[in-house]
Amino acid sequence: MQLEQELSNRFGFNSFRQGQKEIIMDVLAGNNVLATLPTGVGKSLCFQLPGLMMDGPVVVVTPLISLMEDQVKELKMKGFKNAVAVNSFNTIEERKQIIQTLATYKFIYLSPEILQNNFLVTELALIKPALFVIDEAHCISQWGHEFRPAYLKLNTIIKLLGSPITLALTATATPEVQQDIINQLTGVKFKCHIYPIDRPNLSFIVKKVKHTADKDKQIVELCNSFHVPTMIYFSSKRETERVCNHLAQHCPQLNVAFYHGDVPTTERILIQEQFMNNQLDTICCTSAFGMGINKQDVRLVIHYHLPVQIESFIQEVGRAGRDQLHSVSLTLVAPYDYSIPKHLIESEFPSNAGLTGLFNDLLELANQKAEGEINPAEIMNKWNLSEVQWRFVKNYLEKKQIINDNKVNSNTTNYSQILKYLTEKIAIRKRHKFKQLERFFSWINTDACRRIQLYQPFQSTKPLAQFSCCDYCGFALNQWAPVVSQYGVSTSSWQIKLTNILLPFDTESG
Amino acid sequence: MLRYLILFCFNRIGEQRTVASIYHILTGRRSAQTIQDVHLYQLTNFYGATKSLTRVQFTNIIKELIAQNYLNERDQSLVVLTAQAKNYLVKEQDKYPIHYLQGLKYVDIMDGFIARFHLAVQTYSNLVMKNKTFRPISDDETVQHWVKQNFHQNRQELRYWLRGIHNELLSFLNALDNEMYAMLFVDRLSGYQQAGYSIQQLARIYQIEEPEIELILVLLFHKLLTFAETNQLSTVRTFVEDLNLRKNNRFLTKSAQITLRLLESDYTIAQIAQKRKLKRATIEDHIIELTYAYYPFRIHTFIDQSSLENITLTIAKLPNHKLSLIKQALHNNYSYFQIRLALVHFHNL
Ligand SMILES: [Zn+2]
Repeated sequence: MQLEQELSNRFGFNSFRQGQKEIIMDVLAGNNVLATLPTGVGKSLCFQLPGLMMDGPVVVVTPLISLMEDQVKELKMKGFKNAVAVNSFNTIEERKQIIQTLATYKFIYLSPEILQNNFLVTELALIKPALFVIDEAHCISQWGHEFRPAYLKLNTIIKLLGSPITLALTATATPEVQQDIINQLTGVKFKCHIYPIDRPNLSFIVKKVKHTADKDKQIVELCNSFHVPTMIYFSSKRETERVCNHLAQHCPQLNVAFYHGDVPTTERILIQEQFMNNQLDTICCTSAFGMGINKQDVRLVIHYHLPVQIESFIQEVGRAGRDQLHSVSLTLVAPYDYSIPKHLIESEFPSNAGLTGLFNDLLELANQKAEGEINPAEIMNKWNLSEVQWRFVKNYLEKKQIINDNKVNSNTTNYSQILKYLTEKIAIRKRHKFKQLERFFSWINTDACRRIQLYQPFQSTKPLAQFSCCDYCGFALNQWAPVVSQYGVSTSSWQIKLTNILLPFDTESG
Repeated sequence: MLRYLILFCFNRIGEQRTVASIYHILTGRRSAQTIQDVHLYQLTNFYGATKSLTRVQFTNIIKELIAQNYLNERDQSLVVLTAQAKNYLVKEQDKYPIHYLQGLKYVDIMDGFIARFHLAVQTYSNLVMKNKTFRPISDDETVQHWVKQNFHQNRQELRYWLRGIHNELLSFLNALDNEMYAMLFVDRLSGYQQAGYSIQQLARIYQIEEPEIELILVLLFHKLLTFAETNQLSTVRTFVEDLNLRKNNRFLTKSAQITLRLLESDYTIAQIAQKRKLKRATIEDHIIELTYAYYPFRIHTFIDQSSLENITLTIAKLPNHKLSLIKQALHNNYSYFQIRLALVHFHNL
């Protein structure tokens, strides 16, 4: 009861959501905790509340700078002014200022990359953090879908900070990834709190079609019959545009837009804001859309193309129904769709020829003994490596001491051995990814309950449906009656629109 | 209107220049040749009127105009106006207010003006409603910084500021002879609980192609600025008070002039160095000099946009601009030449 009192006093909530209380009690009892919670349950409360009750600062490592800034802003709005974010966006002056006054902060948010700074770590150790939080902990696992090399160094950093109580949080982690998190953080003995990531308010449908034209037809029908906030995921930028135009043509009532990485920034912000403001019903997007978007009433998530793995799929369907109302995931599959994710996986890794060439170059640089500085842009260009491929290779080169700080280490000799090792490593990772993909394909083609097949590998309890379950269990779209959005195209005169924007206070009062 | 504008330019230039030179004028290429062209053919007002028009879009329009018998192809790079086009230019001259454009005069301030204007409107509109969680529609730090400062000065009288800009915009929009322009202008604005339409959406709603929408919007902002000057719109004018109008051409060294000529003939740095028996570094010096004089003279030939932004962001954060310090802060990922180009860019922001 005491903890509920603290919750209500500090945050104004009356009760905890699933798992929060158990995690917090364990942290307060001095245990290290590894916890998986479904998206939207309020992970941050799990460290903010105990953090406030403990003596000493809370250090939070989080990979997304925008989310970091949002959390700090949110804390400040709730009245906790002593929160700060340290990341590559700070100026040197700002960073100096923050480090000099570290002791005055209760919540210190850091990017994993900024923690590579030894000076900062030393200063952090001096203020003796009470709690060390690793957000999005799956980034530590190379088997995870968002591996971040900088996370690997957290083990050392925790020790340098005097081994504070450590809380590792994630929303998606297979048992394999959980084990990897535990393995990587050797100095930390974890108590695990694995909560079901199942979203009981979602219903799943997979529809097999013959052609793209069938998909287009289905989507037009859907958008005409369900006027609800909808996200349609694509793996091709061009297709987002094509289908968006197709919808605009065939659903005149619909407010629709497309969103992908090549849309200019300002335009992208406008589209995102419109979606948040309910000015848009439907958005045709790539996976670039969604990061950090917290819209509560997305009712329908359609996959026009398949993502490369189940984790991405779970994350993307998880954007539906955050308000706990009945929402639907619909996946459209045509026969040739299976090859797209295969190509995407192939393109993640460098070719053997490229690798060999790159190694020869490095060896030559090392033999010159001089400074041996490498130029990443040049290398990427010469050996035709994408940003992703280069980051992957660089991580191994650093691990094997071939390069340090962009300089070739002339003392390393066993190049051919390392090359062989890396080539094998790539083969293993590719195999793993193809296996993951096969898992996803078999989910598409399953003749069992989709909910159980999707979530069971991630949790020990049986996933249960709060509304209808899935197409296998008898759910069909004609049984679905969501609350329909009321918005439509504004037909006001420009004078009224101008007044609404510039004098919103007049509009509000009458 | 874009087609009208293009034909208008062809008419002025006659048969003396290539099709590409018109593209360079409309997209505001910073080369001595283009600057000379706009003065020679009295096209200064249209310099940089359609900055985002791509080569492909432009070529397609030319092809269309040829197909519709507005232009006649003499040879690959030369086209001439037909009698039909000349008639069209006379007949439609009241329809398209291309005289709103003040290209060369505003070329250095227009982007800043538009970005500041939109962000300020969004910021004031949200903050007057006490909504602090809106997402700024401009990511540009210099723009955000300016709006923050401006807001700080007015924060005691938000409603007063908003009523001021409302009155000024009403008078401006009412003075436009085409109601559709006023609608378009307002539909682009973002404010409290209302994000403006993107170009793709405006194109769909108004059934006008995207480059045309962009041209109309730019034209309206040109008009807004001249209107603000003649009618003493004090709020609108604050957006550009500290922005400099186009700087005068600066003095160029003899040697840099030779390099400039070779660059104009598409020689690479290495080729020029070889040809002139000079060090590569010397040629790079010339390019820096040329870039200062004709900013952003070919800057993208020597550095790609993302590197440019990356370096500029770092420069903005550093306490001093010593080259070695900047290089180090960027983990030695860029050459001194790239950093110097970015410095020119930074100084011109
Ligand atoms: Zn089921």
